[in-house]
Amino acid sequence: MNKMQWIRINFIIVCIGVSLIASFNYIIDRYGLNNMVHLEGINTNKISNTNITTRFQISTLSHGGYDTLLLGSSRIGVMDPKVVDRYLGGHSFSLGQPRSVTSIQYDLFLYALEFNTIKNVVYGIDFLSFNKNNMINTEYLDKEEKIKSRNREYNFDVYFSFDSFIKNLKFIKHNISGQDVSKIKEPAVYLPENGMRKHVVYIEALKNGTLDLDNEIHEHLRQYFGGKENNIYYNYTFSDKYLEYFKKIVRYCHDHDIRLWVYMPPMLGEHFDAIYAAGYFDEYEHYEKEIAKITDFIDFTGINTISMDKDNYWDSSHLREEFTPVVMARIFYDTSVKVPNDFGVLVTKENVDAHLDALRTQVRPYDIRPLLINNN
Amino acid sequence: MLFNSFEFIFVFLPITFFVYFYLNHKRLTEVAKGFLVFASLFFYSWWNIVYLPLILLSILFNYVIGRQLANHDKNERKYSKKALLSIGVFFNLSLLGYFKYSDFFIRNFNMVFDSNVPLLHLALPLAISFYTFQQIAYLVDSYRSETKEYDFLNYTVFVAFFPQLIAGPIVHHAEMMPQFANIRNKVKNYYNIALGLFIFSIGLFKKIVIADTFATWATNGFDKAEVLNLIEAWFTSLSYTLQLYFDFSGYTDMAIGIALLFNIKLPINFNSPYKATSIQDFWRRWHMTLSRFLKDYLYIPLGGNRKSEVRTYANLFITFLLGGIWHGAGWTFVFWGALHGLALVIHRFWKRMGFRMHALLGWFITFNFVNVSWVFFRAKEWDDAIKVLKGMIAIDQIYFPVALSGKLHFLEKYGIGFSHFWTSHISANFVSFIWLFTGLILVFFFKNSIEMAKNFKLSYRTALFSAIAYIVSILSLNKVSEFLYFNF
Repeated sequence: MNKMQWIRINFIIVCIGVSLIASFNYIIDRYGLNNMVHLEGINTNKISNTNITTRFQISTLSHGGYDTLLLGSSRIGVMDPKVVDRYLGGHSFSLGQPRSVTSIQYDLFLYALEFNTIKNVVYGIDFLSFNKNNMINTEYLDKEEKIKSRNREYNFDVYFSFDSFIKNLKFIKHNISGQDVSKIKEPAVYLPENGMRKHVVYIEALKNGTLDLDNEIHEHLRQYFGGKENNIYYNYTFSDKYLEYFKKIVRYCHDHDIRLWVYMPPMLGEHFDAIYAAGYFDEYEHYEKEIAKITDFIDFTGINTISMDKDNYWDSSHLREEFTPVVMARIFYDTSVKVPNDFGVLVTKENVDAHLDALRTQVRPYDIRPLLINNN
Repeated sequence: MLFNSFEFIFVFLPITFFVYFYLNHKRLTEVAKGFLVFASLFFYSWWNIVYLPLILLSILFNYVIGRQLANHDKNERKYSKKALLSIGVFFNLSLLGYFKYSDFFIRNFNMVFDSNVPLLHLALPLAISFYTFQQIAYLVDSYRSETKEYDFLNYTVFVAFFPQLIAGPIVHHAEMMPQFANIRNKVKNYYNIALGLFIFSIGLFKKIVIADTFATWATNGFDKAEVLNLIEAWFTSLSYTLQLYFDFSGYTDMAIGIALLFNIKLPINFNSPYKATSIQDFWRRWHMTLSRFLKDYLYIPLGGNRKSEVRTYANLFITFLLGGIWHGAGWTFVFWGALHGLALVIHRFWKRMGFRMHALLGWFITFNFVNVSWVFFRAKEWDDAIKVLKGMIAIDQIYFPVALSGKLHFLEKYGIGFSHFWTSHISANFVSFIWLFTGLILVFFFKNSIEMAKNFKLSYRTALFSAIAYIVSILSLNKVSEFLYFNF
């Protein structure tokens, strides 16, 4: 073999090898990032892209085409954007970033504005988003620079990846052998067209009668209240800095004629009780008061007809998808939908004190110790 | 710009290569050289352009001093040549000292005198340790009248030539300049290109696929875990030992491969160091150009082994102590350097006494010494080093996987436990052990890349081997990480 031949052959093999693997990854697309090729029994049943939440969100948003944002934590992620579309007539994207604080929500909000003409924001604001000690997820941190500099997200690195190749092979093996794909997926999955967190595993388990709801609720409460540093309410301290980010979003919407609806997503009654038992209720009241100073909002928290029934939830925090119409009907004042009277209270700076007094009376005794003990 | 990045492999390198040879082909050799300088400085500035003025100042200053030194005798200058050299060396060391060691000295000053002098928090200019050493060598060579006269463009190419600029190998003026001057090197040499691509592919694979894999376990063990049991601690230290080897030698391979594309032969920097049978042998095989620099410009000027035996020991020790400090402004580096200095002193004493040791035992001791001393080299804090070392001797903290408890339950009476979490602190699993085992086999029993390059044949086998290395590496570039020696 001569020198030129060697170089040429080397180059050709590399080009063919890289192209083949990248094309394979693009076609198999286990996360549903492009959804271009559907091969029945091979790649149609996608796995959860929960582990690439931020990538998925910014990659989808950077293609544009949305006029409504559902902003907030994972609690807004489980709401169905199609229901919002019915009221606003546009194209909504669910920008629910799990356990996010308001600075993250602000960055994502500005990122979405860069590539879309946003006219409406439905903001589900959470107590957890104001915890000074809330840990920020590493996947978001990896993308933070890109989000802040408003750079478009491409997925080339997912396709041009040997790691993806191996995982796609495993994914195909699962599909072909008829094994349960849920074994390789997380409990939530984003729907590519609108970013909603759809709890497919829960849905399947519910259908099969294997959903252990008590356990899910308990595990979730541990993730919030357990004493570990990475728990959501760990050493809860209300952050004025995070409040400023919330203010910025509200101000931005007002200044740019973006219609804004703010609400506090519903949580299971036990979760609400546990906030009191954990000694965070003063902080909780402070949080609601501060929000009321900035904007009116609909408060779905507390003990009410919906929150008292655990079967309405997937765990302690996430309301089931089928309740989206009820929540949105209250937010958009749709009287044609039957909404329990005690579900969703309009809170303003005038009635916030009375509302909080009422909330305090709703608190029921709750034994928080098992959550703390099991976690340490 | 990193060698292991998309922008370097697919944009910078091809453009630089083709433009450079196109200009040479058009007989615009000076323009081609100028372009190479521009490309190298662009490569350097990619990280942060604020570093650029400093390197240019350093190049200009050393060039002027070097020329004065080289022309001193010819021009019968009235000033002292030695004084001029001293000024030159002082300037280089001051630059290095200011940027690299200011905060280290202030921190220690504050500690000793209980004062509160604020730290400067200076950003360490990229590659300052490397280009400073390279230029000190140039000044000394000029003082010894061992350099020929070259113009500023030539000198800038010598310092800034991008394959070796960031992390070595540390090159000599005398071995580089004739290559840049050689007219035959200005024409594309397809054998060199094939060989360069072959070596580059090995280096890229070493860095991306192997070193970065070991990095995960090393980082978990050193930086994340709070305690380590015996197996975890050994896994951590060995992971770093392999990570450093594959990272640094991978970088050097890439540098050698890229330089070959331009018909420049960089010196060998690694020769299977973990096969060394003594500590002296190790330093003849590890970062060979640094060892050469330390020997020629520190150990020998200190007196080398020409004075008394005690002085020889002292010179050895001082050389390695300073070598340790050169690697980083921290007491862990000083201690690491001292450990190696001490080991070399013991080795010399051993040899002088006429004692002998079986090569296998020598290898075993050397490898383990190197492995243990890397713990200090890697640890960010003393406590981290102690944590890992404590784990390595924690014979009461041995755990095997529960799956083995059935067959090996008799070990329990020797204090060995079985746990589901036997390697959980470093997030290792069964596959990790296969990696570790394979890594060790590769460094102990396989030919190194330079040996492979020596036997390089233009065949389908080597083309396929290299192509597979490229494919896997290119498809792993999405987890780009910096080279360890960038920090030193």
